[in-house]
Amino acid sequence: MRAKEEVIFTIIVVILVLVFLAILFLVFIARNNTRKNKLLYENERIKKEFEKTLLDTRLEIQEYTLNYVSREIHDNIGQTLSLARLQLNSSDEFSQQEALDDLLGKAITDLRTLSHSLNTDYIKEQGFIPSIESLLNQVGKAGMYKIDFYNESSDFYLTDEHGLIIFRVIQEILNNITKHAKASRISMTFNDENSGQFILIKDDGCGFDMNNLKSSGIGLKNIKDRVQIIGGHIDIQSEINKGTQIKISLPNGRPN
Amino acid sequence: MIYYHQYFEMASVIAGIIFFSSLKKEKMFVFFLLCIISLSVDLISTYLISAGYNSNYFIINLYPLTAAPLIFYGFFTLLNLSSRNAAIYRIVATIACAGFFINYFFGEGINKLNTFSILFFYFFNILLSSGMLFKMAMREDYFLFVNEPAFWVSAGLLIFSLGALVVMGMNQFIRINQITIRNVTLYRIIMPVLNVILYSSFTYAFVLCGLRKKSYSQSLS
Repeated sequence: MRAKEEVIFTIIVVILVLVFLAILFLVFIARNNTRKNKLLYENERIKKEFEKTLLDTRLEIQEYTLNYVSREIHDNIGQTLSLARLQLNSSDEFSQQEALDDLLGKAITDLRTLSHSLNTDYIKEQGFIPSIESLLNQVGKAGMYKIDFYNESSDFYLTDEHGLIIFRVIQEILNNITKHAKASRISMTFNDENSGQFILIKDDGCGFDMNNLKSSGIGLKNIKDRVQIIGGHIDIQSEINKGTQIKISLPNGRPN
Repeated sequence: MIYYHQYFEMASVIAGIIFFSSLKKEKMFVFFLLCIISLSVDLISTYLISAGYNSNYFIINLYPLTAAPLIFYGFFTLLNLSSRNAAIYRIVATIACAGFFINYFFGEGINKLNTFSILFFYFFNILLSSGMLFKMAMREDYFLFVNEPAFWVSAGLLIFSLGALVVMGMNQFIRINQITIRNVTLYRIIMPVLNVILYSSFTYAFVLCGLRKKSYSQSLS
């Protein structure tokens, strides 16, 4: 009788152990599935966020370009053409012709530069670093700033999408400098090292209190978020009356 | 007389009938046929005993013979094997089915419980359902296990077959030694519980097929 009970016990235990193992297997698979789904969801979210940032960046660059074009037409080409018209009414025919030639030449060059900047793909077509140089030229054109540009990088590379985002970030930083920094000198350095590549932007302006960064608005947060979304990091150093230094560190972007 | 686990078998057949149109799309039609065969074999064998027949083995033995090709085919459509693995699968399935057939007619025979066939049948069930679950675990796209009919069918079959393999493996021993609990054989205690697990999961899988079709239609409209 006792032997029978032991057999029953053994059979039931064996079945329970097997069923338990099967359930354990199912739970393991289900947990693995949940973890994988979370990862996929997170990847999808990051991808969507990146696409949204890219779209926003494109729109902002377009807006910036249109503002720039409108300003250029009004302040530069418009003035040049008005001056040319005045020259037409001048009495000295020889000097009139020469001056007219100079003015129209300048207007044509300005229009050509403008038409280049209206091309929405000009960052892609010109390349990232030449686009940044053009941007600095635009800033320095008014003569209010001394611009220094150093490309110490041997192999600075960003994908088209990352280039667009960083271009917009730099545009925003330069915009902040021209609006708030009261600087006379702006320098920009491109460099790379084993761990990655970086862009250093310095100005000798009034600087700001780092402890009051919160009050300096959405601009800086937006810049930080955009750099982070492409796997980069931004470091801002500033002191009142001692200027500002911004270092944008980026991962090596060249595909293997 | 109808045993309680047979209600669960009926429930799975009813769920299959209700959601019949969506079973094919989800490759669950074969498992619906399996439920019909299982219910028929179970009801007829129960009736034969209650009608005074000495043995119902010739009916019970038909179960692995008819269910095995369905299980093999069902998992074949679910597993999406590569051409080389599919060829191996077909050879193994053909040999197994031929073995069950030979055992029924020329081996253990019609009137004796085909233990070998049943044990091998459960063994293949364990292999195939584990394989299916493993394949699902390796999938890299976004999906929820609990929303997959194939998961419920495989999980139910795995749990059922593991338990049934032990019980059927020791069936002769249990009968000869009259191992019972309150005069009921261990087989009659454990198998219904396992059947309840199996057919509940089948029922849920069929319901899921219907719900998935419904949500798909809604997303189209």
